[in-house]
Amino acid sequence: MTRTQLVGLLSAIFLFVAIYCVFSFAEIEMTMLEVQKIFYFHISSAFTLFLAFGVTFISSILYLIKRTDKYDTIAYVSTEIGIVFGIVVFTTGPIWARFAWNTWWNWEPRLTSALIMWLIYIGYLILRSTLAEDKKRVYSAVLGILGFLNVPIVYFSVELWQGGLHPDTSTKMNLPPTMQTAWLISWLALTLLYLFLLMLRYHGEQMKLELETLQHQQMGEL
Amino acid sequence: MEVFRQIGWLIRKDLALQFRTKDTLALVIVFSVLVVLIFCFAFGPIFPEQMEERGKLAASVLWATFLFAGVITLNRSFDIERANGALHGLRLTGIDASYFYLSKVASIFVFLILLEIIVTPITLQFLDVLAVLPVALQDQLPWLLLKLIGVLAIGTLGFCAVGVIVSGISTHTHGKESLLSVILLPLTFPVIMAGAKCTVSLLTTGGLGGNFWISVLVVYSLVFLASSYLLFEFVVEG
Repeated sequence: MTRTQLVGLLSAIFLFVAIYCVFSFAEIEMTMLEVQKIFYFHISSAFTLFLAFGVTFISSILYLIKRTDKYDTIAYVSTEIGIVFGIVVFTTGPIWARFAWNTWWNWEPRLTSALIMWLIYIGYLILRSTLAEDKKRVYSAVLGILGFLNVPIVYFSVELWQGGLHPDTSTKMNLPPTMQTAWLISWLALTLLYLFLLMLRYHGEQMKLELETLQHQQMGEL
Repeated sequence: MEVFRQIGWLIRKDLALQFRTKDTLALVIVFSVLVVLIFCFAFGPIFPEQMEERGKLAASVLWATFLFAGVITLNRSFDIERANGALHGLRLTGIDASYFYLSKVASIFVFLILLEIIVTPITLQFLDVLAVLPVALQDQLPWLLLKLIGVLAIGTLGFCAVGVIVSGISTHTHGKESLLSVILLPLTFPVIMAGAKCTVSLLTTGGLGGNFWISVLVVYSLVFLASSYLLFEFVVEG
């Protein structure tokens, strides 16, 4: 069994355990009842989203310093996976908000900065697809760094822009123990899933590069 | 001193290119007035009576117009550099990439400020903002306009700081015009937010409403100027 398969298996096991914990083990929240269950995957996806773009940021810096293609590939595939987790966050977020605050969208700083960061990294993917082969690595790395630097500034400005009128969302630290456990397990499960997808996509990209090199060689021989 | 001399020459070259043909300037001014007109048609002919609402409307029109105009200016400016390998020629003279960055930021900044000085009074007149201003503010109109241009100038600096590096990247792509806005606009959200807040406050109270938003505007502009300055070398070399 390869390392990728092992991580895949682990993430699958943890996902099943997480689903069990969320629906059977964790107690039902008093005010929001079952709807609150969406919280576990929403927050965990948001964490994974930030993790994925953080990995893009660090790999981009490493690429600019070391110029090893490996880091560029990691930055690229991590962005792709981050975008997917973003879709999960922005689908579950409004559902949660509708029941918690009676609105589909609120300008909560974390949500807003995640959205803007998500848009920036979609730009990153579009940029990559339109650039020529020799330019795309350096340019994507530059944008990967700029995009992440923007996050704290956006967070800070949105927080003061909406003047602290939104409901306090920092309640997850005072969760009852069963909810805390369920949340931790779902977070771990999604992080493992991210890692699995990252490894899988990384190997995919490596194989693509190998294929391209072989094709070039063959063209040369002909 | 050599640094300033070189940067000075680069700025002069850019401005000479822009002002001798005047086609970009004419294009951008006409475009900006058209954007303002579209907003006027959408919200007019009777604009909100409350001063605050009118101020918000004017601020959003001003910022939207200058952002679009800024994107066009950046694209045109880099088209010139890419045509006939002008940028490569410039690099062959041994000039540092960071000087090139600073001069580009400065020349586009000057160009956009000129545009803002022309278009802001037209916008305020079209939206009839002066009619709802309190009498005390009407007496200090030139001073108010000066402060407004000052806020727009800081915002424009932040916009140019990111804009130059992003358009340096996007000129290499196929659909460069559309791509520039897709990448640049999310990156400049904080500057738009802070700039619009300061503008609303200026147009409704005549003051900045505390130091907060202006500080965000200044800090943002400086952070991005510094980080883009450091990263620009990779863009030119790439």
